[in-house]
Amino acid sequence: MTLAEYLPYTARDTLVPDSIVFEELHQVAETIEPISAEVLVHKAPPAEVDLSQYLHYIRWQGGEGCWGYSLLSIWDIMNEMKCPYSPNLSLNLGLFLHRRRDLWEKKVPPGINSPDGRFHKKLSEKWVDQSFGCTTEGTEITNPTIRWTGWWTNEGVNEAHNYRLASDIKKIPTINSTTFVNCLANGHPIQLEIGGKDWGHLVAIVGYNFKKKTFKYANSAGDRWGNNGFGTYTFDEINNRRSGSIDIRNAYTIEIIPPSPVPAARIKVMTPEKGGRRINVNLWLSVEGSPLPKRKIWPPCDSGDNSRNLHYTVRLPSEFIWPPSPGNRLILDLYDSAAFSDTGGTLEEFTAAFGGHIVKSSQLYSGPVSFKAHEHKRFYIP
Amino acid sequence: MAKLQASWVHGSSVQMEREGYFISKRRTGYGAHFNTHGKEWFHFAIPTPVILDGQRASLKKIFVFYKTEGAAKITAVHVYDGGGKPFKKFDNLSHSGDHSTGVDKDNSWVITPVHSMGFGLGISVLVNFGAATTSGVPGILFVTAGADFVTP
Repeated sequence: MTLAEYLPYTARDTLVPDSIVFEELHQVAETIEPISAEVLVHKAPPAEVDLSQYLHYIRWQGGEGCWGYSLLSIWDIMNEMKCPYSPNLSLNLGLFLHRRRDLWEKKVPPGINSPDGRFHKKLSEKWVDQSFGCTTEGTEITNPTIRWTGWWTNEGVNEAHNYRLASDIKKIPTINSTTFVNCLANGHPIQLEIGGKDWGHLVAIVGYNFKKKTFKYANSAGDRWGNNGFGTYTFDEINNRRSGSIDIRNAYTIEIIPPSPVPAARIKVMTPEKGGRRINVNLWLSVEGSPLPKRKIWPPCDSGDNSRNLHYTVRLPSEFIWPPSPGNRLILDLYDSAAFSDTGGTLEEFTAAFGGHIVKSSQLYSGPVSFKAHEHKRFYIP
Repeated sequence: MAKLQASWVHGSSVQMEREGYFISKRRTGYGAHFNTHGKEWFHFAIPTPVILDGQRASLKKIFVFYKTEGAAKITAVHVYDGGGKPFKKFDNLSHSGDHSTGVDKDNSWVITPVHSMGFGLGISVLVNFGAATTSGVPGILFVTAGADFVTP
């Protein structure tokens, strides 16, 4: 595609319905034999499993894309279990390729070239995630609110190979509480499709509790939805495949290629419940003394995310050379715009990690640091 | 009488097999420094005098000067003559420490029998950086690499 062909699309309101993805998922579900997930029977599953401890970033999808956000939630969990401090995955390319189907659907064979020249052939439902991989939020921040989004980036090309699925998405052959418990007890969160007569949605099942006989799921509506972004289904609802007027439909798991650790930063910002509404912070990461511009890591342009808190892991700027030291400091710039809430908030965590080597900001040694509305604060590691 | 010739490159020219942000890398005047976890291959391309004084040269010995940090250790060295499979493998190694300033038994490997070189010499070094640790990120500094060649 030439630049002249590309430019008109940047201004076009390209809306592709989620129903296309649901149809594709149903195709996966109908061809159950070759792609059904093996559900290992856990002889004595624990009384409770809560994989949400591995899910820090609660996504906000805006109007569409639940198929991607729920997938990234279970993928984030599996990455964090295999490789702590892995960056949160981005849906930038997922939304881009979803909306720009004309770039790959009509090709013979169907597929697309990434900027490094590789051709990624559509051999499965999650073909890009298997062949190219997935970029991360610090590199390609997901912008859910505009109709046109995404494009390849050079840094994305350099990192995506580290975040790939080992195989296509797999359907759980039998949907009931026993198989769900076995999946979760074996470290597999579940992507669950629900819906009604003329709508569909996907959430991430992340835990169960035998005593309460409930499953916990993560939605993608920010952390002010439900219980800090989470909801529950009872065992009976899963077994009966119905929750009120909602149908419990198909369920899927993934297998990941365990990622290698990369230098990353984890940041947690909280807005008080009392008087606070949605978070207003703007965040930038940079390297002290670097001539390169600060990297804006939050929020995405024109974001509608109404979450109260942000717990976010992003890759460090690529020019940063590990480890952080007094002559090689990582900088977090925080500015509270007070656009939605004038309470200010607290920075609870600012940590850099590379594998198990974790370095915290010394400014947080004695506890969270408060900031006020319209205030700019700068934090350093070390 | 056999004639000797040696060829060396500086460590700053070493190439890692996989590019990515999972390797923290720094090239300085005194070598190339890498920090990461797990196993990674590094490759040296050695200028190769295939013909010396009208006669084909044979590889006699190779050298890789390095210094490890933390759990990192060299676990294999493979030697290539152009493409194809390595003609010599030194596997099951466990070399660590500072071997960056002079020739010793942990940074030099004798090729027996000598190998008549047809093309460019490649020395590939497998480094096992080890698992994630809380004390730091394992690393290796490559200072230089080279080879001794001999003609009949």
